[in-house]
Amino acid sequence: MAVALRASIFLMPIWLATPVLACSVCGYASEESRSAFILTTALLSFAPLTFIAAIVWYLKKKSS
Amino acid sequence: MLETMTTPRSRATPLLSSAELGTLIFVGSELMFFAALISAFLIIKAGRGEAFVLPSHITLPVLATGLNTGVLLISGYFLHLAALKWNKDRSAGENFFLAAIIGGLIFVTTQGYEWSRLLSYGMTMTSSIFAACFFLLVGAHALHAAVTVLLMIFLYLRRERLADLRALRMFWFFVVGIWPLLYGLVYF
Repeated sequence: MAVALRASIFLMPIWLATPVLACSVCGYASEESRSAFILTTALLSFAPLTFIAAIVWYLKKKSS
Repeated sequence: MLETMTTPRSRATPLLSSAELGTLIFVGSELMFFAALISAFLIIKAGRGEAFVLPSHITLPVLATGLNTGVLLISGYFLHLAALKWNKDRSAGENFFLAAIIGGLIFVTTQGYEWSRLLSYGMTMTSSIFAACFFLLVGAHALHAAVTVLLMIFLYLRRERLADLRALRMFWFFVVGIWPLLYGLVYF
């Protein structure tokens, strides 16, 4: 019973959520928008990886 | 076995102090915050095309902000020198720290003056999509710069430890380093 209750609470956001129309095609269907979406996806993907790599490099340099 | 038990364990010095590690994690989250703002700016700019411009009677102070950028970069360099000198030559370290604070204050007050001028010309958050993006992006940075300058003053008055100064320098480097990117994006 408790498990079912917890599962219901956990799944509640799925029932409450409404669809969000925010894709590049729905927003602005142009070539510039598509390029901007690709560029910003790359930025948001690589920024944390680059940051972590920079920290590892800095710590390694400091330890040697 | 006996030897290992009796020999005192050598305590390894941490590569980063707690303050530096905490600041580094915070800088990581801030980096993603600004990356999200920049992404939103680029997507809106690409989608709006020709409509993503200032009102015709307003021009952004590109040159003045460029000079202000120079002041901010110099302030970052002064804080770097302050951290380098802090334990070796305290007097020089304090002077560099003070110079860094003055540089930060000049940047923040000049930004505030520019904003007041733009607002007086009728450029507000609601006047256009460009103005909204401008105030959001530049305002987020200005808020970070202003809070960091206040922290710098606080630490200067308390004559904090080098570890705290290094942590502060780390965050100031982030604030200083991201500004030329924002300047290039928004002003050109």
